[in-house]
Amino acid sequence: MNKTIVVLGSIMALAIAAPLLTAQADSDDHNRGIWRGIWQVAKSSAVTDPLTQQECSECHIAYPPRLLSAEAWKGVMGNLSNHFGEDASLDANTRQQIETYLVGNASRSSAPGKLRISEQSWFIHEHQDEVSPRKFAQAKTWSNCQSCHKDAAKGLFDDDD
Amino acid sequence: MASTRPVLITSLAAILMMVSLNTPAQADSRADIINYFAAQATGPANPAKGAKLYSQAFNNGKPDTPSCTTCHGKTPKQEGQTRTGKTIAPMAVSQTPDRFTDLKKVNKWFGRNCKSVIGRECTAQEKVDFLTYLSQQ
Ligand code: HEC
Ligand code: HEC
Repeated sequence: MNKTIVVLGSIMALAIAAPLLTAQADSDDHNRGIWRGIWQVAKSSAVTDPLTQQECSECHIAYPPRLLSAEAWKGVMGNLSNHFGEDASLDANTRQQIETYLVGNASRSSAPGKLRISEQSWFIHEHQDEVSPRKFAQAKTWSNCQSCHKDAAKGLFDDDD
Repeated sequence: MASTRPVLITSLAAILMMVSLNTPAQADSRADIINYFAAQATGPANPAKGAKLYSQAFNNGKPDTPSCTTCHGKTPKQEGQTRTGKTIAPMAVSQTPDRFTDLKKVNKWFGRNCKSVIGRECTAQEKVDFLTYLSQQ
């Protein structure tokens, strides 16, 4: 057996094990913590396309594709030079690739002509009577999801904040 | 002992790979970028005009974004915030040293924000003034 391999191997094993061990020590109920983590990854709706993640998270979180319909995503991506009050233009190639991803992963139906997630009826239903005026004043706009949902960038919205 | 070599070489290669993955993909020089716009400008760089451009309010752009400082810090050394609540690092190069080192990024944001704030493309002269001002901040 070669000494170098043994040394390198132990370093790698330690590097992998250390964070797991400390994570366990940190948590009162580590089993529950680990299962919760796995469950969150499984149900998360976060953006999986790196280009969309990069380009659409510059001003706000990259909104999960499944929160809008294909029609609405086409509407958003077809008018980037007039994007909810700002110019968010992209070069033609990038724009096309992002549109393909968003449209291909869309779900939910949405009302014709309504391009915002925050103006869909399911959204209004979920948020009505749930948000204090103080919370909303802090967020300033419904588009600022992560002000209230701290894991919004990971596609998680069912926290109890 | 002869077999130590390949192992060492492999681990060296792995370390080098990790290092190179950590360096930013883009690295244009700021001076080159400023020179690129200066070559198309009508006069020498005027940082005072750049300062005015940064703080001035316009009324021909989109109504929600009358000024650069709608989203960027009140002064370039301060942080800013997008209208959707995301923090924007200061524009001053002294505060954010990798500002204006990626020509593609610079072009993308001049393209968007000149139209949002001023309602038209910026001229090469305005770009030189603006970049020169912020490089000195
Ligand atoms: C230059 C900044 C900027 C970029 C880049 C940007 N957005 Fe936006 N986006 C905004 C602003 C500003 C709003 C509206 C905020 C408000 O009305 O309060 C918004 C709102 C939205 C909304 C509606 C949110 C709601 O309230 O339901 C969607 C959907 C959206 N953006 C999608 C995208 C996509 C997709 C991309 C990438 C192609 C993108 N945005 C890139 C600035 C940007
Ligand atoms: C001002 C605070 C606030 C903002 C901003 C906000 N939400 Fe919410 N949201 C809440 C509250 C409170 C609830 C109800 C309690 C809960 O279920 O977490 C909720 C519920 C939800 C739910 C239902 C979660 C579930 O599983 O029951 C979804 C999905 C959601 N929000 C998505 C969004 C998205 C997407 C945005 C941004 C476009 C957003 N929210 C912006 C406060 C906010």
